[in-house]
Amino acid sequence: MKNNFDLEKMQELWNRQSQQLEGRQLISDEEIAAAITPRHSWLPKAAAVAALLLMAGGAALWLSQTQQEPATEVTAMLTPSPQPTPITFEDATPQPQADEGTPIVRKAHADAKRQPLLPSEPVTIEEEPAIEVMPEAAVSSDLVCQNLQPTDMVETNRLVTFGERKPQKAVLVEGHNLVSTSPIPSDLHPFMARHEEEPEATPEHPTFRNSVIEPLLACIL
Amino acid sequence: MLTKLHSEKAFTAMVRRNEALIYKVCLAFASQHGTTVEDLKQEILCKLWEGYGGFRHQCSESTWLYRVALNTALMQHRQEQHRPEIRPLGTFEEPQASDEGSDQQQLEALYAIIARLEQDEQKIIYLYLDRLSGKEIAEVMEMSETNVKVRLHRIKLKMKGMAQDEEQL
Repeated sequence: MKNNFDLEKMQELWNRQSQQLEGRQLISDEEIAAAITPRHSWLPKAAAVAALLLMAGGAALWLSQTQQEPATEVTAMLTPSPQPTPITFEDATPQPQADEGTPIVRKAHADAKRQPLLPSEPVTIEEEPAIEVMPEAAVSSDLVCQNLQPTDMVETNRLVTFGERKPQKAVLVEGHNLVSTSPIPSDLHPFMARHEEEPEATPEHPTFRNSVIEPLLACIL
Repeated sequence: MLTKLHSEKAFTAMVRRNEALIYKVCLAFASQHGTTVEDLKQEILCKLWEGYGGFRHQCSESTWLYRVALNTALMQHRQEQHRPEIRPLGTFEEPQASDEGSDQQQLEALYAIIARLEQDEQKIIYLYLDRLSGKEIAEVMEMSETNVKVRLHRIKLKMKGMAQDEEQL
């Protein structure tokens, strides 16, 4: 090898070694069996199928639970507790809605709202005595609110009495409802006074005075 | 099931007929690629079994075996190259002066030179050393016989150059 590289000689050496291998068992039966065995192993396939089935089952269960959950929750919430703690409602200023025919529901007292409710404490709302539905027609013109303060809020078209004064109809001005169409002393409410002081709107169509006389006077003067 | 049993028996018989061929590939490539003969043998057997179902007998049995065995050995070499070589302490010994009379040492020197060739060149020179004809090498390598002859001539020159370089060192 050191002196000269002869590939033919190498070929001879190679074949001599090959001949030594002839007639010997070079690969055992176990080695062949080990190579064959993994091929028809059913375990990986079975595991994959089982995993797919589990995933499909889990997905189906999750979907069914998702669809049933809201109904279950509502039922649980509406179930009355053995000793209900009723929330008392007091009459306050009714708040009818603007839409015609919409039922008006009286508000609960503010104190009742402020009461801290523990999550574990079951609360049952007494439906009939606490909630009173009134048609808007009955409220809008016939109800007279006595002894209201000027800062109180009343809905539009309600008849309002301040102390012993004549009942007045409330109108909506500047976001506040308590303004009357009839003359009201200005000391009652700032918005009312402002409303009374408002000058009458000038007529839209030009009058003879506006269109002819006033321009002439202005030119002369 | 019967087909499987039949193919297993046929495969085992084929391996038995060609076990020297498989073993020689393992001997030639395991030593130079840092893997054991047993590991490479098992890898080649697994690859042979994987491809056995698709073997259509369009070429000779030995040609197909050479292709699979050589490709597996060289593929294994590629994988081994990416792994760091782990050797226990004390195994780094100085190379001993080679005894020219030892065939085994000459063969190991030959393997070392073959390992420095390109992969296609390694296959061609291996088949040449195993005394395959130009036509058989062309069949295994799936190239023309003329191309094989040209390449074989270049490989011989290249190996001589490598051997001379080693002598100078």
